[in-house]
Amino acid sequence: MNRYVYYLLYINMFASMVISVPKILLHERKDGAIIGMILGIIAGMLVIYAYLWFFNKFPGKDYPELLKKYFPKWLQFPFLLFLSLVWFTAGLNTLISYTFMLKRFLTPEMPVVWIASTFLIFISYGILMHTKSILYTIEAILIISSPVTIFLSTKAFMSPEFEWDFVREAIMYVYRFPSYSAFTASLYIFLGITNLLIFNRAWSTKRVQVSGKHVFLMGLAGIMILFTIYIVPLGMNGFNNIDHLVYPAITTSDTLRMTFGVIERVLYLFLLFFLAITFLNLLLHWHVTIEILKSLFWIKKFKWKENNLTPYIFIIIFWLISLKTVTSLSEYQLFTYTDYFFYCLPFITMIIIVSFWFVKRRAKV
Amino acid sequence: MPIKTKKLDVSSTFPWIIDKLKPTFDFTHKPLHIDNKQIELLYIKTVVDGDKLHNNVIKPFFEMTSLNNIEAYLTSLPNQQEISSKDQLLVELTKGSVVIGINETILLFDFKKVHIDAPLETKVEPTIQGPQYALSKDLITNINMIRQRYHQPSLRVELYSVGKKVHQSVAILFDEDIVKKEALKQIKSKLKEIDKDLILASGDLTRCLNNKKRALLPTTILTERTDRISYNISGGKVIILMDGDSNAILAPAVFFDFMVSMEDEYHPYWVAKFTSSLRYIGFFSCISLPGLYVGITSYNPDIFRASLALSLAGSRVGVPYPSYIEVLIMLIVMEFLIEASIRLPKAVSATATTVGGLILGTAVTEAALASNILIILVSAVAISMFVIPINEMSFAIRVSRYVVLLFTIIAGMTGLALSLIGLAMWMANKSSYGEAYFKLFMQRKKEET
Repeated sequence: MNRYVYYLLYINMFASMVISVPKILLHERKDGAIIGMILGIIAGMLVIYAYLWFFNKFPGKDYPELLKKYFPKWLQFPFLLFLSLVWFTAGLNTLISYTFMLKRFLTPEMPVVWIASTFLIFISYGILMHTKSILYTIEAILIISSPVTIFLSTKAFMSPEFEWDFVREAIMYVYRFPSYSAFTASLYIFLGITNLLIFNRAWSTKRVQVSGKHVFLMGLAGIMILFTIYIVPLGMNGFNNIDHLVYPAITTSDTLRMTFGVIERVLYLFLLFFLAITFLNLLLHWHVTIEILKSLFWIKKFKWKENNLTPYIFIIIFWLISLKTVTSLSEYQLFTYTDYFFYCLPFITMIIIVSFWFVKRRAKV
Repeated sequence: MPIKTKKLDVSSTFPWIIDKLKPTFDFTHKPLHIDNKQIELLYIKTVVDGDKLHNNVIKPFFEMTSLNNIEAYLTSLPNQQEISSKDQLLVELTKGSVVIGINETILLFDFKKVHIDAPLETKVEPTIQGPQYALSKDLITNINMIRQRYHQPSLRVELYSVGKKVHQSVAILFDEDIVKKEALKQIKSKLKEIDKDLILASGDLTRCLNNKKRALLPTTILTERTDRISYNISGGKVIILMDGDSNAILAPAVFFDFMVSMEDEYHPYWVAKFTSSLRYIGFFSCISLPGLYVGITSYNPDIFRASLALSLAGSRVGVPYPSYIEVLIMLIVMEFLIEASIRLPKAVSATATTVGGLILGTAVTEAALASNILIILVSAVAISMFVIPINEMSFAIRVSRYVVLLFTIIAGMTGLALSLIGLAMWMANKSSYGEAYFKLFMQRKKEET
């Protein structure tokens, strides 16, 4: 199976280990988080299966192109615009969360605009690259970062501060009505596969393969990551007051110590490697956004030395919106808005899957 | 294959050639005449091998009986060349060919004299085990050496001529069965499009073959070793040889080709893996160490463990300016050293070592103009730059080191991490004649996804 499809999924899983999912899950730990997680896993695997099945039928084509062929024009324009907005918000959420995190833990004296601009400079170069180049970059950086991530998770489970009693206490809260926020947060982990909307372009010769084995493998990875996200902060920090922590994942990593290492506080290792993974996640989301926007608006006359300048307009818009929101949002507002964004995601995914069925019927494939 | 000659006749062409070349002192017009046989020779004597000419043309002329015999003998000589136009005759005369006019027909023969066809020693890329002879400066000798290493009938050689004023010969070699077709097509079309008057050496040719006018990372390898050339031919690459230069151009080249040394093929497996990973560690440390120093001392000293952080901070006691100025000064002085050592005459090389070691190292620390740890770091950076086997990549890394340093100065550790990712993105976005520059090949298949 094409290993690049796995990367699309894994980046989202790893990045959501720090961004918003831990906090939401741990907030609901007494109100049905565990059942919500199980439902989320099942729904996630179904979503993966639906996407792989659809893109197996159309090798080398991306979703905007298919919509343009098989849907009436009055429908595709607002729908694609709405989709680009969804992806943009997902990327913006990642950007702002990580900027706040960096400000709080790594460089408190740097102004927030500066940190966000550093991200934005490199993102602006990255999202204009070819689709295949983004996949190569992701592979190269994942190969360096994932051993560190696995090492840190293993270290957390085997550290002396980890108390399994808290985990047992958490599992006692199984018999509760599933909480919708926990369901959507765990579904978000599997939604990395939705980046296939644009990235299917990269595989014109070899089809994306769909089989139960692949879906199961992806689901298994999701289960392990979800388990780690939920259990590790609980075991380290205790069950009762963990929702008082603003960033449970990062504070948990700060409790770990590598006594004989060059970098003693695991926090810095964690922050820097997850910086790389978050950057890649942001790159994926905003590349999808800008490709959908490019397929909608393309001003042919706006050229300078044979380089069409329409993507640069979009990038300027992205910069303006990001810098404005970074300065005007507080952390509490960020969390509530992320929560609301996650509430909408299952419906959006459902609409996209229904549209898959329509496109398949019209294409008669 | 019968040599085709265009219908140029002696009476119109010869006066034209003589007229064009008369003012040069080394131009010779020699009519040979005995009994009723007569031929005329035109050649430039400084580039023609007089002995070969005498033995192959002049002596048989005087020993044979009739003019038809002589014409039959001359047309059977192996170094006869095709004639395509009058201008081509002129260019071939300057390369060392001899024009013979016999019986109102013109024949062209190659009697070139070469002084520079001895294989040279490997100076730029020495290895411990493996052949020590490099290519020579003559094109024909080089093709000979490469063919001796690669006995395969599908090895093709094609000849081009570049430079409107100099008419240098350029040869392309490739193995027809396994060459990458897309790259070959691009290279051939680029060679035909070269519009310059003067092409000096292989390096110049590399710049002309590039897609972009301003590039930092190299997309072709320049090498002088025959074993690397045959290794690359069997990998499907195209070799470009230029007459007069002992460096061959290998195209297309991807990032991982620059980190391969021929030693990897001659050492046992684990030794080769070890040296290979050493090179990557050297590459990484060369790029990131200066930035790491600035990031840690000025932005986040608490990253390292307590005793190390205190040592770092303590070694900077007394340095009167911020860390980035210190790093920039030491890096620039080190660049001066490296650049000057290319041009040092042998008499003063000892002085330069003394200057570099004593003055820059010890005295700067004693004067508290730089910290101890920085000196160690800068020398480590300088040495690790030469761990990379191919020089062009190490020069490119020298430049990108400053870009990473700049981003770290601006944005701290965030800048360091992001600029390294940015470098990876830039390399991934580059393509070398149709091949992806930074793709990891993990499946051992011919066509990867």
